[in-house]
Amino acid sequence: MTIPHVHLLLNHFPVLGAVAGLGLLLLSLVRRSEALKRAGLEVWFVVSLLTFPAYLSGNAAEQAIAERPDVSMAFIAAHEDAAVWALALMQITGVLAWLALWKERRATHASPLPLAAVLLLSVLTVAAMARTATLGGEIRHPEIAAADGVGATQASPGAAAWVASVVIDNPWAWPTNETLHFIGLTLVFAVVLPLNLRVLGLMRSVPFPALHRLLPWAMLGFVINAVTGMMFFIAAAEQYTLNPAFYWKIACLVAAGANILYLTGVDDVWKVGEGATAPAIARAVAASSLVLWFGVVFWGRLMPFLGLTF
Amino acid sequence: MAFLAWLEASPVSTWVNQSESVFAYPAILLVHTIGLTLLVGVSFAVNLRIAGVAAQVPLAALRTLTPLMWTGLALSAASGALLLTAKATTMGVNPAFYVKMACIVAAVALIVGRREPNKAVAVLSILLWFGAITAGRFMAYLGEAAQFG
Repeated sequence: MTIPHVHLLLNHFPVLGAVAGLGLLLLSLVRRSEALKRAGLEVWFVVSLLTFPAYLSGNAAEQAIAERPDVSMAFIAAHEDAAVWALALMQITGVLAWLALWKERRATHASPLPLAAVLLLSVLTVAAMARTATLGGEIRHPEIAAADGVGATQASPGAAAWVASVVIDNPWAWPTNETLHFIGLTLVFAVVLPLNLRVLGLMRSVPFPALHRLLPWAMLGFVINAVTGMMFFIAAAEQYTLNPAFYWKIACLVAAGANILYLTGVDDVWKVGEGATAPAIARAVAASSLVLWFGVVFWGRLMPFLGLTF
Repeated sequence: MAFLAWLEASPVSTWVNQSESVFAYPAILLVHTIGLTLLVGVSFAVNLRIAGVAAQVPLAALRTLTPLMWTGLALSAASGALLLTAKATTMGVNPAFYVKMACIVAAVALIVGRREPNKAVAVLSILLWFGAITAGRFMAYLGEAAQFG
């Protein structure tokens, strides 16, 4: 299994997952079902996580076919630009879906605003993903590419080139992004440490629901790091595409994100009161969560040394 | 300057600088980063609580994580000392390094000298950690240390 193979495998998840997520949310409105709504939001969150590796494996897939005479770089560039927009919309939807799930944990009176926002973004994300997938398919399937193909629309530099130029042309962009990436990291740990340690049995006097308001700070840290991290990747993809440490970091990140969903969404954890012990499954998730977050730091910090130097 | 040069020529510095082993420079940098996550992570959580986030969490409970914070400080200080000796002649004259040290000393002083929980002090503490991180990162870009991973 190679990284281009991973790309071809994962690239179906954002498209089909987005359709499934939107479908579940619409169905939840028709049936007035809280359970379906939660399922829909959870699908969006998981799919938005999987969209990271789907995007990030794309540059290796590009390298694998770029030299072929029958492959047009204009098609790849158009696909990549569409993917930047689709990724951004998908991640906004994912964060909003998480916020809606998180709000349900606190609110006695659920506000419809997060769901409306998720629905709106869902529709946009489905459209952007469909476009990305179509353009991606055309790279290796000339039979479905229109005669007036995408090559002609690539006269002006697109989203990916714009992000790259912002990072590369501005000498302080890279160090500033690194600084923000570290600050985001400490924010994530400021929440992940007390949260998981409480589930594991430290700070036993704290009822788990008391930690509720801490969770969005982890999401803020995650968003800062996703934005700055994507800027690194888009600006200098060649530093990452051949680096195994980078893919391990992303794998740890996706799994750690799934743990956050478990801790946000599963009722068992939220019933853990003052002095109470969390269920064994929750403790296992919390332990793996800590291992995974330190795994993210481990692979991230060793990235320059284990792979290509930069 | 002679002292910095002597420091950088010491056997430990030479090993950190020149060893091809992943246990030399990369591992020390990793320990430095893990120390950061523990030290600043826990301090951040306590300060957010003092600033008013998650007010239902008893402050005393959160402060049971303090040993983790000191562990982080010990890891960062020890690894930082090794990194510093390895780059003594460049870092010893780097203004960002002294800004970083000033921020850390002030932030640790706020933890050690804490009296009553105070929102302004909590916010100041968070800002000092941001300052330390910023200065630390810019140490690699200011002066003649551009290859500092």
